[in-house]
Amino acid sequence: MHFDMDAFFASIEQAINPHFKGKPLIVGSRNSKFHTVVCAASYEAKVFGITAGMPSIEAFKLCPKLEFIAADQGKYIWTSQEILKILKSYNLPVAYPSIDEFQMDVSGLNNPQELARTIQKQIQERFKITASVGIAKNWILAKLASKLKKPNGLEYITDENLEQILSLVPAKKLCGVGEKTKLILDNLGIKTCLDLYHKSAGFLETNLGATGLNFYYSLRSKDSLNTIQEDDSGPKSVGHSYTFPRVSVNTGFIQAWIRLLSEMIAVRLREQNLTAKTIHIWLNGPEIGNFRAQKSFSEHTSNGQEIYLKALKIMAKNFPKTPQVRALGITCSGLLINNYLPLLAEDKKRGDLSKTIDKINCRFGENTVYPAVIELTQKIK
Amino acid sequence: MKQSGFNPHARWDKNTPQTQSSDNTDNLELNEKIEVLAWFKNTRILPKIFIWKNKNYVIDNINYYWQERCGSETINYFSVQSSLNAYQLSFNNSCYSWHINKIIS
Repeated sequence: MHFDMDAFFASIEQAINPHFKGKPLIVGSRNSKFHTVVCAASYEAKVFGITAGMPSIEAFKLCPKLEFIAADQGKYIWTSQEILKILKSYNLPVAYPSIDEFQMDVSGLNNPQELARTIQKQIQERFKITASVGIAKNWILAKLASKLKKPNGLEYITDENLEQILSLVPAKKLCGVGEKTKLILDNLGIKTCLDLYHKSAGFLETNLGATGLNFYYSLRSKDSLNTIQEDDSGPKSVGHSYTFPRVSVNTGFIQAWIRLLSEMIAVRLREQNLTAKTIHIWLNGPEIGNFRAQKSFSEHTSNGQEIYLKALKIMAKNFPKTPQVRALGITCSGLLINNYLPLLAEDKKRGDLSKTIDKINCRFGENTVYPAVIELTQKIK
Repeated sequence: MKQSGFNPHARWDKNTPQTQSSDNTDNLELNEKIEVLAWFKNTRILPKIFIWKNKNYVIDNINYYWQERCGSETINYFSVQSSLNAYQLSFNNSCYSWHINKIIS
């Protein structure tokens, strides 16, 4: 059973401020409303063709009377976790693939629709927002089903109605079908999910590679939950990215953001007692497009400054001059449990400093103590 | 297509630049201390009346409620309706203080 919250952030904002109820509304980042990206659009805004991921300026062109709210993730995360608690109270296996999606393994239940309706009602009564639910034999079909009767809908795909429903759904609605895959599918004459379902594993692998094979097996699998189970060996990578309100060439500003993202990653690594060997940097800009580079270093680290310096090294090797940057991201992989005992006094000092900063920030709140250079991120340039 | 679960700690908004250059002026930030008459029922906090600038505001409805952690402190946020306006109030569990954060509309 897959729960997909309806216009999650926008619905919460409409619940918080009744003035927004029934009005076209978008939730963007904290920056200027004309220089951001739509994180969520209310159903009233969707009528104008406004969708998540669209530049806000385009959204305002489509609907000049659009209401704008700056995102405040705290309340969205709290609401999401409270919904998760509701689902967990039913003592069935639950997965949490994203902030606005939840999955529940209802294998063996006689009447999953009744349970779905009960939970939908609980969510609506408590938070004044709605969720759409899809039920099917595996998570990918359940996720697809949850999108078919939005908002506040319920769709149950059974063996009996499977082909009939898939024949009505465009292939692009299936999880994992992006613009590029859609083009290939179009060229192959695959228009609906049923067309895709009927193709053989060999055909899909030949034309779509591993992705095609993944579609074949996912559509036929019996996996109820789409997450790595808790007995998995832990995270494979930790990363953060950020999109600037506008293109920047300011070296200090860009480097300050690299430092901030590095510190955020380092805190998460230390929380999980992990260290990273490989640093990956991603930059996006008008001249460079999507630039990606990574390097594995001989020493593992969970120190923000070290991650930052290594990321700068990778950047300097590829760009002698700071390029125009619109978005950037840092990811650390090659993770190991931190069982390293510092030998050098300098290493010990650095480790102690990180631990002390973590303790202060844990006691008094995030960002109570941070590297001074991060102040530059507050200056939009 | 398998993915690891959602990590609520992977948030970005606390570090993004504040509204100094924002052109969204609908919400007026206040963060002023206020007095509140509240009902503590079981584990819930239900503000009923708040006094701000020597004026009493009767709370007609709690539109929304959420919690956030700030270090070891828990802050309870309330979007409340008083006559035609909505206000955001907060209660700090550690120092038992109430604040009016902003006028929402």
